[in-house]
Amino acid sequence: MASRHNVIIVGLGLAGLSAVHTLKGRGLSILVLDENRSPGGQYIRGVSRALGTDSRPVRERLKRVGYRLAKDLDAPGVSLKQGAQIIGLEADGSVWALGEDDRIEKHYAEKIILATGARECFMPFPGWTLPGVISTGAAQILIKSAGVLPGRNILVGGSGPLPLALAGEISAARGRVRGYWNQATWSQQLRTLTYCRHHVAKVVLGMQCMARLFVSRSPVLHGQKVLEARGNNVVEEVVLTGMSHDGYSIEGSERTFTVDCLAVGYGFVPNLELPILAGCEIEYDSTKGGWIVKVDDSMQSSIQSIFAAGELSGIAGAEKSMIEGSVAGLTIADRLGAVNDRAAEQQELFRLQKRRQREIAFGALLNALSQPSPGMILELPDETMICRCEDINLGQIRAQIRNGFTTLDTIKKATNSGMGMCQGRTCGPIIQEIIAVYTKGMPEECSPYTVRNPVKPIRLSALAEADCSDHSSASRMNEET
Amino acid sequence: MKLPDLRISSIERKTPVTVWVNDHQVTAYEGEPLHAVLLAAGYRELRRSVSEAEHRGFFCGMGVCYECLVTVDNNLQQRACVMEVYDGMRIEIDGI
Repeated sequence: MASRHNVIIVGLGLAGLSAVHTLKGRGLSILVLDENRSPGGQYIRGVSRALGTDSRPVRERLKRVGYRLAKDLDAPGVSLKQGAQIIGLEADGSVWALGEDDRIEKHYAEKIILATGARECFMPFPGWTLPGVISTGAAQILIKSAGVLPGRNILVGGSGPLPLALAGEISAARGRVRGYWNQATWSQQLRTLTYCRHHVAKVVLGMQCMARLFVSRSPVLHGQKVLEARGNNVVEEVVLTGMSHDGYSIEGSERTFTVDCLAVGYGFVPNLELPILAGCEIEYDSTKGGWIVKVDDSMQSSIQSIFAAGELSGIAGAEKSMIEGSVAGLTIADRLGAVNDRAAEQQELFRLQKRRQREIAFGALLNALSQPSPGMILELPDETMICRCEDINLGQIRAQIRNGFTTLDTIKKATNSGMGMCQGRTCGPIIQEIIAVYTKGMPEECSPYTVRNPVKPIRLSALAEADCSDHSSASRMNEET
Repeated sequence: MKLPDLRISSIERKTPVTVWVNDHQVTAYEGEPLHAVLLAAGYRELRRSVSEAEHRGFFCGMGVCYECLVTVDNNLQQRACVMEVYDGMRIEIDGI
């Protein structure tokens, strides 16, 4: 039997947490589903309560806010399920979740807030599949929530602000940063800084990280890319090269680093699987990080019952996510007739929407620094692995583009890319860039992979045991699998 | 190659637990994620890729990429990065 609620919130990062905070205490029944074992999403990622105590102080204001918001999860009317993987979503408000006990449960709500956040995206290079080459997010999680350094000698880099933040965190944890590099040149980054007058706190944080690197005498390089990572079964050496503004390597600028860990990250893409599955309209906006859910000012998607808050509606960081969680919450409270003080809440909504625009403008600055350049793809050798699950390399994808396949779904059928366990979550955004470069087309001409139920790999036994008695769509779901 | 001392000392750990990796005894601490335990014990190659048989280790660290699949208590293809260790956990890593 489906459990019925007024609101279901999917994802417990800052957007989800602030939505819970806004909606609690209004007599509404709220179900919160989160994939992780503890609330906070990727941003907070504190030392998990299960692990022990951390003597390091929490410096970031937003994290302290997050910890405070997490207390609302105990509020009356709020039920919480951690470790729940959402495998299906329908426009009528039905949600299918796979619990930690490997059983499928169906839930239903009048309104759904999707706050599923973003994942990292990557630029491939020879050797990026070697053990020891990890994402910047993976390194951050290891340090922050597992209290383990990702290596002894770590090289950190990529695009956007996360690699620098990570380099600072490694230094603070007394790890050794062998070097830090960014794809953007100094002048590009300084130009960005001049637009940051509303965001002084973030700039100061970046400068603190930079200062740590100077103190530890770690090389800091700009306008770089990875030429190659190599090693015998695990990463041992990484070669960086300077690159021109269009991404071509500059001969003679190679530098080789001896490392046991390379942490790379190239910005973020929203986790669009659930909104696409439900039929929410998506749109392309490069200033918001690429493909996003189309929302109105109240965070409502093209489907009346589904709202999208946080990175789903555009990559712009934690502050925007928190604002959007509140906006979605206030709007839904109004629609469900659960308003506490109409005048005050309308005023609050107005104020939040203004702040939201400021954060979107800030996100646009960072997203501009994360744009890949064509040379970064055109110069790669054919052997470069692209689909890590199915072992499909760039040569195979180039061959199919020459054959005339220029959409993600046709490349998938022609090569098997995106057919593996991760269901194209890692290779999808990369192949979109490859197609755009070779067809000289615009990225907006290449939409994300088609999404089908179930959106996560599950055991057939879990499907077979699912209680499908009360809804026709359940049998439809079984047929599709 | 073993990487010693990767655990950050400023964090106080909870109760030590024993897990078994390919029948080798490994000491970990309650609540630690499995991929971190394996890394700290020197296991960086966690699986072989499907057709090229390349060595692979954890990559995204947040349950997205499925690179860190190992066998846990006879359950195949478990993501090490989303599991917490517990006393007596048995992990099989194939092909290292």
